[in-house]
Amino acid sequence: MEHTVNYLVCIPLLPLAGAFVLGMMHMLTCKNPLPEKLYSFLAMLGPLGSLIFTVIIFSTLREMPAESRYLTQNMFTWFSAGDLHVDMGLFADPLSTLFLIFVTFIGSLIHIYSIGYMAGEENYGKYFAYFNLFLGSMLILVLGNGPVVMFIGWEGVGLCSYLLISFYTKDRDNVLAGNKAFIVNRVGDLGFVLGVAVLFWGLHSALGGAGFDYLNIKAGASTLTAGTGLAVCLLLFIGATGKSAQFPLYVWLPDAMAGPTPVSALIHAATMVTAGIYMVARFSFLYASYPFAGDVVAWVGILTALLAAIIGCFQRDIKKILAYSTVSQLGYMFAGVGVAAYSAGIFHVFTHSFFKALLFLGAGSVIYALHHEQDIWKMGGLKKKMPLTWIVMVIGALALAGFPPFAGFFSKDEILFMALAKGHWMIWLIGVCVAGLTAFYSFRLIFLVFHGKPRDQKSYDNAHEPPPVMTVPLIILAVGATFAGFFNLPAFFSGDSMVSTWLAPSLLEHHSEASRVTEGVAMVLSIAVVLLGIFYAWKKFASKPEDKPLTGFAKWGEDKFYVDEFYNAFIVQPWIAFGRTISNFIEPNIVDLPVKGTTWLYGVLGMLFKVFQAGYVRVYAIYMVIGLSLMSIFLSQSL
Amino acid sequence: MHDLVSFLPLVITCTGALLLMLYAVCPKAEQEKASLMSMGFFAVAFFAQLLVVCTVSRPLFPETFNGMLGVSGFTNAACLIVYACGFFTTLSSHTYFRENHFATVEFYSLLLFSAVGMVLLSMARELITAFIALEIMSLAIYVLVGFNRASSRSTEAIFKYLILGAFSGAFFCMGTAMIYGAAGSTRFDSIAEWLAFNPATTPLMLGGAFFLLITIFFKISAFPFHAWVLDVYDGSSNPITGFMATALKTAVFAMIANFLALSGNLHDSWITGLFWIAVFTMFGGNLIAIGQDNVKRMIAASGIVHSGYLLIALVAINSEYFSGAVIAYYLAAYSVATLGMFAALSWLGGEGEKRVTFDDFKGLAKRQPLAAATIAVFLLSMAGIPPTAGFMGKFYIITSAISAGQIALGVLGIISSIISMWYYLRLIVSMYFHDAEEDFIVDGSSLASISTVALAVAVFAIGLFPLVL
Repeated sequence: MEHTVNYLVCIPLLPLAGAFVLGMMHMLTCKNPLPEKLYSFLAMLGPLGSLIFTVIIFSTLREMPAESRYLTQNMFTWFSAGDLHVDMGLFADPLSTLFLIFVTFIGSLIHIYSIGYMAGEENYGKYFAYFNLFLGSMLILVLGNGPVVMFIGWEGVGLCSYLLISFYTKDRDNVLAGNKAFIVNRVGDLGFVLGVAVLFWGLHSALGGAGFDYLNIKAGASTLTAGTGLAVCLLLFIGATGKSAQFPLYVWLPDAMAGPTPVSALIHAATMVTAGIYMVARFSFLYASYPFAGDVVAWVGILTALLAAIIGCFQRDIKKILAYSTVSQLGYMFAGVGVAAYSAGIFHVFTHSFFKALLFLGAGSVIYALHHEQDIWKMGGLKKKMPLTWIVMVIGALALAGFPPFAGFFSKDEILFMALAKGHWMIWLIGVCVAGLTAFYSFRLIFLVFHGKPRDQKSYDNAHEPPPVMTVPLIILAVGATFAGFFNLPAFFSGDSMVSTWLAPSLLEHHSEASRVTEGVAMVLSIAVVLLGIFYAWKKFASKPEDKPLTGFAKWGEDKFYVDEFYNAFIVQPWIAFGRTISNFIEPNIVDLPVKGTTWLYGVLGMLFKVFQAGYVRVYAIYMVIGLSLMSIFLSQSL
Repeated sequence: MHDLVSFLPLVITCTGALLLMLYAVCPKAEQEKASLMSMGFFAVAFFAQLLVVCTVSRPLFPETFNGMLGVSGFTNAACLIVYACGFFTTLSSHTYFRENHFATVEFYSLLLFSAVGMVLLSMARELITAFIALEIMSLAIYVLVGFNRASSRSTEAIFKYLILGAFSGAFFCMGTAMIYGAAGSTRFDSIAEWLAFNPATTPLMLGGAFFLLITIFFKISAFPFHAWVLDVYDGSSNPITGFMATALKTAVFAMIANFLALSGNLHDSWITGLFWIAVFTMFGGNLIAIGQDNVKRMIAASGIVHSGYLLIALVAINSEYFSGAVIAYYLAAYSVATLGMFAALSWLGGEGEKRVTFDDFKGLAKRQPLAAATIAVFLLSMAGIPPTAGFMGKFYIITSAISAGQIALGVLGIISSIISMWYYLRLIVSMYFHDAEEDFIVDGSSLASISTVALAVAVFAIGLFPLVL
């Protein structure tokens, strides 16, 4: 079977070319912008083109035998030094193809939605240029044939998130949020780079100058010493915690809400945050051999899920609630991949991308309708004004809460069940609690926004459904959020686990067997907890919600457990102080002093020499005579 | 017949000069038309020379006109540079004289005459021919320097240059006489033949060569014969300063490189002397440039430094390894940047050269972004920052010094180029990091700005296609 194809490159290249063209157009026509329709049309070409090529790749892969199901394309040798040989190449296997499918599909939907949401905004062209660049970077990340090419996309999405989060540059807070996202990501990136470096260092003799790509790494992975392998896993996971917003580096994601809402949807649903999960799954052949690394991943994930869910219960900003829910859901996914249930984790990424995009875009519609009001305590009763948005948001919330038969139920339950089946019953227990909390905060949001009486009559009166260009993507996503779960129907519901089977060639996982009874009990329990959460939210917020100041533990939760303040006091401030010390003392006195001294010396010498330029022609003639005499003396020596 | 084809560009230039002289007599003569005509003559001469380069293949040192003149790849390159310099100088002059009204038709005629002298000088294979060529060139330049008779600075400049030039010209005659006394001939090849059988340290030969070199050092403003250069460059009009700094230097270097390359063991006895002169020229020039507040004087002083680099290449020259290509390349790179600089100055200065000191350039990046950007390109090329032509030129010079065993000289060259950042970057800082204090509108023809942009492109083009010469 021929594995080399030449059209893989089109997938990332189309959005990147779109970004270039849009960027140039925007730069050249800054003063009198082109019509928005032209920008929207060009912006759509890239994502849709990628989507078409993704479908082609998917159908090509399906025709291949399962055990050797991959496509590659090598463009050129990027660099080659000693044993390190890196090709600029792409690699598509079932895992990356699954990512490609939802990244391009949901990315395209968000692009369409943006056409409506961003209409009339300043810098319309710039927005779409960044958006295309973001998508292109994510596709490189997913398609890269090795960790080094992946790193291009890894950094690309980091850069674009920075650009898009601080898109409304006029407000300083937005710029600071962008900075925060970028800097926190850099911390993670350091871990990733170190991990890749250690990986190469451990493998360089096994590679022997062959390409540093996944196929060769996988083949040589068994030669890694235990310590090196563990170090690689943990360092790469640090990178993942940065990109996928896990404890302790999750702090940037809630602040990332500063960007336009479709950006939040793109970052949270389809791109960027899933990169960490993808990376861990991509290196499943390493993580599977080091159970300790897996445990760390799982525990960090589930504790992050718990922490974020608790914080999410007390937030007032509609987008912040969704942001913490993303952090929490990502925690689930890490718990999944951590307990070596890779396909379950990836499947949750897949379903999550539908319902989280749906929730964000729905929230975007609400915000759009209320003219940029984001406080849920100032909404209420919107059900009558925006019935469509209400329906899709309820679907999204049910899917997020994991209520059957919506998408989130199957994927989340799969993770929890796998944790239980592999003997991590503590993780399972925490996971079930988090499911209850999730149900509580997502329906708190629904009840406060759409039910009860309007708390701000004026903005309520002006509210209306958004235009079709925004609602159509919502409907498509709602359908996805309802039915995406059936793609991986477990054997318990007499399904055939399509996604898990599809992913099997890419992942190294062992399916544990547990009795049907255990599975059934666990499922019923988690449904009961979800119902409890919804019921509690209904009781508390549906009819007569009271916006009273929070106290005690709730106050802590509302203030995010002061994690930001803690970081600020113990990391940021000391670091700034350290930098100040360098710039105030070391820089001027130790680094600059010799430099300044030298320049001073030359300055003085220059001034002295200027004196000789007296301006008298006789003086100049004398110089010539002196020079002549000196040279004569020199010459007479050589005679 | 080949002889005549090789001299076709020279004939064109000479005819052009004479025709312009005749045109000046005509009562309806206008200097703008004359400038366009001389532009045409330079352009035609340039392309004729290019044709010669492409079609006539010759050995390294052939003879023509009974050994009085010679054409080689090196002289061809030097001639190309001279014609190009002439062309861009007329472009700048055209703009410059829109605002400064002291030009006549004779100005352009003299420009062509000086180019004739330069081309002859770079082709000279005989000392008396070289002297005549030198004087044709110098006399025309003297007049051009003092063309603005209303300006006292210009008059001062021409007198200084004339007196010191005459002084150095006398040395040349003296040297020629002494060499003739020793070798019995003034032809380079006969001198080389004589040197092959006699020691170069014969007092007459050594002394003669010594006096010759002093004239050359004067013309290229090497230390300690450099003192005139600041006052003269400062006093003459912007286009002429550019022309002197580039074309004149090119011709003189071509002549001395030919002379030294032919007479091998004469050169050997001079290496130590050249070494020290190169070092003093580089560092002396740097120190003078650091002290300047006036941009034109700074460029003049930096011209001294560039002569120092070229002297490094002269040290490395010998008959086995003829570093002529390196010299020609550096001259081309330096000429492009300097001409561009003066083209920009002619254009930005306005009437009476208003932009003079570093402070006058403050905020230029905001007022005239294109001009500031091109000036920055020229300065970076002079400072030797990649990927400009200046970087490649310095790179070749230093490599040639090292391959000739002069490692110390190479290192000193690098140090000097680091010091030179001081004054080049200072102008960039003025342009980009300060706000303008005053502003005035410059108009005039767009030719100088066009040539500025063309030269800025050339800086990169030459940098990217190294050593095609």
